[in-house]
Amino acid sequence: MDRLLTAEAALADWYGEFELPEGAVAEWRIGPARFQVVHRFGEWRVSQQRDEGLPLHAEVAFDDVEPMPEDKVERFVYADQSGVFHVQPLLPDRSVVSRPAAPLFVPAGEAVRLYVTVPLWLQLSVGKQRKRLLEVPSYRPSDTWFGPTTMTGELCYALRSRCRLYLEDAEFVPYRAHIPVQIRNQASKQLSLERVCVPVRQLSLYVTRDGRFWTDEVGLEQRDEGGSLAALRLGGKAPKEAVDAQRIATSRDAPGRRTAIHAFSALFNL
Amino acid sequence: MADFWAPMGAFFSAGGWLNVLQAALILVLGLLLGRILGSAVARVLHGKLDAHGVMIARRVVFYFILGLAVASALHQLGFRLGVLLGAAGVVSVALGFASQTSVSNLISGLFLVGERPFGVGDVVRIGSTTGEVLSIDLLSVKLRTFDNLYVRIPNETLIKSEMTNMSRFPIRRADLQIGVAYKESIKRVREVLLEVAERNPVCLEEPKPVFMVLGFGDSSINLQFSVWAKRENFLELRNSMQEQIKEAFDEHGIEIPFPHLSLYAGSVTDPIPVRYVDPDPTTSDKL
Repeated sequence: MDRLLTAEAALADWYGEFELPEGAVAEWRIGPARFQVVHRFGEWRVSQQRDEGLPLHAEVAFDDVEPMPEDKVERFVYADQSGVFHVQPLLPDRSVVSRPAAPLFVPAGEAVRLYVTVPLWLQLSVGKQRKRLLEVPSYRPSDTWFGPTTMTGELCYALRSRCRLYLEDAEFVPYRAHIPVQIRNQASKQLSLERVCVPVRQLSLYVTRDGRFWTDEVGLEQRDEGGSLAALRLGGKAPKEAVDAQRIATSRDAPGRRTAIHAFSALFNL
Repeated sequence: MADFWAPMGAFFSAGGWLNVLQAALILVLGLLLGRILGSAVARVLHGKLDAHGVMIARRVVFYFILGLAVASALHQLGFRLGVLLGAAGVVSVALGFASQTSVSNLISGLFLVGERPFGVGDVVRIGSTTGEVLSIDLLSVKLRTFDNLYVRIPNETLIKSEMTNMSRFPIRRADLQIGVAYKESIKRVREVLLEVAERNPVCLEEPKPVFMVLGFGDSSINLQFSVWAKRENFLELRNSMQEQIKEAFDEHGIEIPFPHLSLYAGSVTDPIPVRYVDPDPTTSDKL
């Protein structure tokens, strides 16, 4: 792909820095999200559409693309004519909630490693200073509420994909990232997992040579003392499954190395 | 009249003008200072307190400084505050009887500020009025309705009547009333409705949508489908869900019936006699 500028994006050809001179048109098809970018004199035009179903592709096409209807266009004024356009994969802007395919029980003293898969968000920016235009979700998950009551809690995204015990079960989807969640039950009672809430705003994004996206590892522990509190550990480096991974996006919120932020009931619906 | 003008003349001739001028100056300065300090306090507290708290802090500062300025101005004019306060007690009893409604509103206002059932910027429903709270004052609460009307509601009414705050909790439930024909399978209707809710990104996955059979109506099975959304998305959810339910019902051939009326001729078996007649040529011409 001759328009791709940076080596960082060489692992896949659909994200990274692109050269789009004045008059150029490019269209990205990332799963159900489709967006078209047109560079005109002093402005960038971005149009978006959603395709039906859940296509697996993540690709970009230049120039020879059918224009989208005018009513879908958003225009961004930008004087710099350098023609640098940047597509940055990011993690979702809210925490995500995933369920195991069937209720999962972790006996006292046992540990389990789960994999949660999240769709990526794409941040579009222009120029060498990367002036942000907008963010496009590759797939927009449904909203959900995570909290002990309808009065207190957090608005999250509900993932349609189940959290899995075995990574081999997960189909490779180029626009999704895997989150390893290590759960250790240090309490004397059995732990029942129905829903897991992962604070993705505090996670960084990594990519491996085979084009798979990973995030920091999330570690959870249940203990008896002090009620049912979970210690939330965020790894701060690529997980062991992601060999030779490089970080491509830092977390949206400042990550705490060891933050006991939530009551356990806020991370799991028990 | 001469009795009145003589002391007045003496007052002004003995430098009274200067006192009046000074008192006026103190008042003006007090007003200005109150306003400036009130705004400064509001600016400092902005972001630390909500709009309601900022408004109250600003008013407290403003009225405190204004009160001090008025007291100083009166002192400057030669009034003795002790006597004035004593007189104020008597006057306030008289005024209280005369302006019962206002005092009642004032007291209600204090209770409202203390109880805080809503704050500035919340959306509330009081009686038949729904709107955004613009300000909570000593005598009344001001609302802006969604058709952009300014409504003033006396505090006393608020204390006495039922008030609904629609901005208190972060999520809301929309109860959709649906009627389907008797021939439809309730199980299938439930599956279709749950599928619509699952496909709608604004509809919350948890708390789960609730499906209820309300009863057997005159011409339809009455159902209620309750779905949750983030407070800000409530209207969007209501509209999009009803639109998508209609589409899904059309797609699956589920009938939404309109009221039926069966005519009964009074006999168990006999149908209502219907006689066919030729159209009258004279009237049909006219038509």
